[in-house]
Amino acid sequence: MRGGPWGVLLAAVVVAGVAREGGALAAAEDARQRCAAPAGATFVDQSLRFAAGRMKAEGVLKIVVLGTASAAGAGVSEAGKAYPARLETELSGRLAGVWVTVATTARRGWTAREMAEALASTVIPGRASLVVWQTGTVDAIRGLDPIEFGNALIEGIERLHSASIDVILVDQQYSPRTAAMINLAPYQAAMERVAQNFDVLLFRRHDLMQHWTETGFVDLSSTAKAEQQRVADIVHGCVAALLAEMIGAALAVDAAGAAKP
Amino acid sequence: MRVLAGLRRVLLSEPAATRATGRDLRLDFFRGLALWFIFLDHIPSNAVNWVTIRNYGFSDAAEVFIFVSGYSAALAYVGAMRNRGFAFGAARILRRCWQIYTAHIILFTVFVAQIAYVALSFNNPLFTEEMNMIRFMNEPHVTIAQALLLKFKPVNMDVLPLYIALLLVFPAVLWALIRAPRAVLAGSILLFAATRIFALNLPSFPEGVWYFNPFAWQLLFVIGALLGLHHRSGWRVEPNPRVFVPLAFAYLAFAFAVVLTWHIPPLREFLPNWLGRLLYPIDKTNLDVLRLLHFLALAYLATLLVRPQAAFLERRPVRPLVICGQQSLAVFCVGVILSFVGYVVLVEVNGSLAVQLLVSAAGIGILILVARVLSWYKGMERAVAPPPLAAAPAVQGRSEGS
Repeated sequence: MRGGPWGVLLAAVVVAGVAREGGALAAAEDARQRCAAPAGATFVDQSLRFAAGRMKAEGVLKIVVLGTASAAGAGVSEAGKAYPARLETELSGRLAGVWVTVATTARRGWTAREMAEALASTVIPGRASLVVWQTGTVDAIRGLDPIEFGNALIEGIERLHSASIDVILVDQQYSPRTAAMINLAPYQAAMERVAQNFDVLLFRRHDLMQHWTETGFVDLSSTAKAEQQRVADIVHGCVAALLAEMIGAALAVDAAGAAKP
Repeated sequence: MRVLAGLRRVLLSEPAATRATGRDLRLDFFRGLALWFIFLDHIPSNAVNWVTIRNYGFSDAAEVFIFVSGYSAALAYVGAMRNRGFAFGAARILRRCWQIYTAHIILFTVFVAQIAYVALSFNNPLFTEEMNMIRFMNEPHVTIAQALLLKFKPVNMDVLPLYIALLLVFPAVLWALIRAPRAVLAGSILLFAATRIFALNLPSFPEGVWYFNPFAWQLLFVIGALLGLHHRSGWRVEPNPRVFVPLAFAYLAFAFAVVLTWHIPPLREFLPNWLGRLLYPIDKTNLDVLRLLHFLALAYLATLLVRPQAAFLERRPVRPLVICGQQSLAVFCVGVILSFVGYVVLVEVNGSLAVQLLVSAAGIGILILVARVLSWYKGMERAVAPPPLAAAPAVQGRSEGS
């Protein structure tokens, strides 16, 4: 289960590669190979029509990551290692000639309802073209009504869509030590249903992190600070790499659709 | 050697009640199955919980547990209430209620110990948000008081408070059920409807509402109790199988198809958006009508397929299930604790598929062991006790078996 010395060495190489600003494409490619995703986890069945439209017309892809502690980079070794910052690097490398910016609006303990209500004052005035909305943990810990959680998501998505902003939902982290004490399932189900019914992409971070743990790619159980940071950097790097892949694929869906008369 | 022989007798003991006593073993069988499923479902990331019914339809083991509990509660207490008066019947029900309450508080204590262990031994900044779950430990006096009031309920510990709430009012419900079953059913359906319209529920601590809304779930308990009474009186609810068997199968197939799209995302495109918006959210808290219908369809087909005289219920291989169903409170509580222990093994030691299988099998083995020992003990106790009616006023340790 646990990675041997070769696994550690490889992971270190990957981190070193991904960490380099404007890193060589080869390193990014390598990172994606390491950050293997199980079938269906990054499945793309929706386009990003607003973002694709603006990218074509204005040459910009303006992303806001809306979330809680993990979007703010809790646990990584330095601010630049958090997944929002690395998403910008990944996408810039992937979308030649497009000006990609990723801003973060994150607050610890923010519920989905609070985030949905903050959209009008924080995200919408900034004319983002895509919101990466990471949520679900706080509501689960507080045991808030899963139906009401789903309603908050729907309201937020409708607000963003009517402001011509696309949405990608990002679900919870996989946290092995607390999994038996926090019931994530009803909130995950709510995110699945809302994504399905409102034509929004869902990034299944929980399943990915669980997959990486089960295949021995990362070990989330360490208690040593340096090791915890190293693993957090890998997790955030892989989340950024796969999220960029999903965004790229969804933008391409639209390009292909637009190509047809 | 004598010790071994004694142990052998305990472990191979017969079920506490067999057909000779007129007990419907299907109840014990299905409740035992539900308890095993609850144990497996409560271990996160355990591949074995793919066998449980929640993966194949809308309803899950919780519905089975509550329905069978209502059914067997009616069977267990109707005699006492009819023959020895309301007060005695009510006292019996409330004694059972108290037993469940104390069991719940023991589970709560175990849970607090688990949380404290995790909080002290594990601090990873990557999980800053997740670790916030221990904030209730900041004010233990408030939390413990709220737990005693059943307002603070840790994860996976929502079923017993529901059961307690239902039994607390069951004396009055049973009294009315004996006299006017149709009126009780109508009232129960009205309350269920009112719950949806007026969003009735009990408050939880520190916020939110009960995960299993007793105002909604009471309907399943009442339906169970009603059928239990009818079973006793010999009156049977027999909907026309020519109409209802195909209907039930069609509904189960539909539910299965919908659930498949949860497990296999690419299948989603076959579920149109309008249908999705009509179906979702499927509300477990308020016992969504889709869930209720799914359970009723399952139960209907199950009672047709497994008749009370079914021979397999007395075969040796199913005996562990039947015995677990008969000792349901103990098996449930031990199961909750074991599922946590099993999960700790998967996370801390090894989470491979082989270990998942091993943990699941070992857990079920322990559940069977606990049930067998209790079954043996109760049997022995009953064997030496004088007949209840002729006994001295002292309360005999008789089990109600629910």
